[in-house]
Amino acid sequence: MNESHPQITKEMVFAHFAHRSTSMERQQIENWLNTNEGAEAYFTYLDEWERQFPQFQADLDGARADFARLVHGKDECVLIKSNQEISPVNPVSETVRPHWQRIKGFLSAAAASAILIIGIWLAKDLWYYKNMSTRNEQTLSIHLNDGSQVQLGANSSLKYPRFWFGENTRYVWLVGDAEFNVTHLPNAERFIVYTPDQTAIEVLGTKFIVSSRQKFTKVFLKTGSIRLTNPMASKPLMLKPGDQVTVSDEKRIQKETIPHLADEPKSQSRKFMFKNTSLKEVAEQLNNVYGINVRIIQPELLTRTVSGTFQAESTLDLLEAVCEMMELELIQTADGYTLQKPKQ
Amino acid sequence: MVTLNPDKDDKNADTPLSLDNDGVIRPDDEILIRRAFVADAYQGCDLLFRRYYQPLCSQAVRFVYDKAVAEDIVAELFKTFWQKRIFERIEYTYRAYLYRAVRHNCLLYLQREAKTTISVEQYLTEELLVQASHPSDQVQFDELAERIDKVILALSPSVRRVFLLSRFEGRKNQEIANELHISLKTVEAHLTKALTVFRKALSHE
Repeated sequence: MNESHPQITKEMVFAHFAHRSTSMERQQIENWLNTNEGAEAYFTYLDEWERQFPQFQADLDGARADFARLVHGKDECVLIKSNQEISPVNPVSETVRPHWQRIKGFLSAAAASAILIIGIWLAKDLWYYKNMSTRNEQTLSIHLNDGSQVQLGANSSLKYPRFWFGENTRYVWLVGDAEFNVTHLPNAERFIVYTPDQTAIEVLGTKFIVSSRQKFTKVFLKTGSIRLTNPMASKPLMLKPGDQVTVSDEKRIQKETIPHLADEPKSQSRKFMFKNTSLKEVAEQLNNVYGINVRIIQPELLTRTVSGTFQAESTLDLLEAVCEMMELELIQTADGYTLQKPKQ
Repeated sequence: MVTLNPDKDDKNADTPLSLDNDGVIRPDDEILIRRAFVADAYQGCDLLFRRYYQPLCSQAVRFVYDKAVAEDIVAELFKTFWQKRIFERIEYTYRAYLYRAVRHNCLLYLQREAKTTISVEQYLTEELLVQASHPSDQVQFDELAERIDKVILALSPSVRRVFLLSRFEGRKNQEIANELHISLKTVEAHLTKALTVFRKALSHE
């Protein structure tokens, strides 16, 4: 399989979506689409592409509420009609239900209250939770009502209950990077961090760092202990201080112990630690954390790896350091940077 | 045509939902959604909705160049997905089905609009859309999007501006005239021109 589709990379497919592919590349992508992996990966990339370059922000809440109304308001209708043909383009016609008419008044009142309750429930993101987010190169310190502290890294967001935090409600949702300093409560109530990949990090009172990005979730424990659950793990994972757990895109869970606390991956400071990291991952990381596009033209460069810790004032500094180390040329473009081999 | 099973309770027994039970471990980020579907179909649909509604709208708008139409197409897609219980028949990922179907529905919309057939694999039935490997050529869709994008870029700046305000943003002609300080007649003339070019791009092979 690899033999026949040697060079389909995400960069290549992205370039294709941006109408920058050559006809040879198109042909290769077409062939690749005929394989099962290719057909799936294509849509995974398309989805990622649309998230990175959205043409506009569609009104999700409104559409979701409409959808909920459709489902809950017309449930009966769906059951009656489910073995008939419904055209995908024409609106569904109302079926005739004589007995329905008689109890219509009662049912519509019930439906109206159901819709109201669903509406309030759907809108609870707006009123029940507080959402804090940071932009590129911005960090934020958040004090929670239970005395816990969160340092939110760049390009991240944290959602938590607005009211009564600390009374059976010690849970937060994190997208991005954050360092937690959780206070131990007298009643030993658990504090739970949820990430988009369904990882749950349960603690009582500890210090730990979470980095939850598109491809992976990393948890690093400084003090105390953590109970980590993920649907893919057969049993909860217990972490000791110095442990780092990585839950990757492929749902692989990996635990390693980082011996020196000095080497801890700090999410808030602009310190980048790479350990046999491919340039491709470096570019993705820069895109995730700072929203900067880094393009790497020659495919053979994507797999070259970097190791070491970089303390950089800015992403430009970091890129310059990486380029110098790897003898690459850095070119600033309209939407980011391009790395390439210097022309001989 | 596949006959749908009207008995709700039977659905867990023989649907291809639990791909994770076949012993093959694949990278699968939709496993949780699939599990949600087994427990409660609405929950599953809602998860899909939250996850894919916006990117799907963004994909649709690349073809139809109309925000409102794009949102309608995606909402309609989910409606059909729910009403015909298509989620019970997805053979691989929901994502692949949804993107494939949204592209297909955009194509149908454009065909109705241009009253012409567009050279992409014609009329896929839903049965084909749910299958993992059917011959629909996604690259042709990419090329169609490119063609549309190119003709719009080739319009003169003032025509393009009017076209985007009118079609993409859905603004009224009078509003556009006021905002750009041009006459209503000019707005209409620009739009006629842009739409002619746009439709030509659709029918052009």
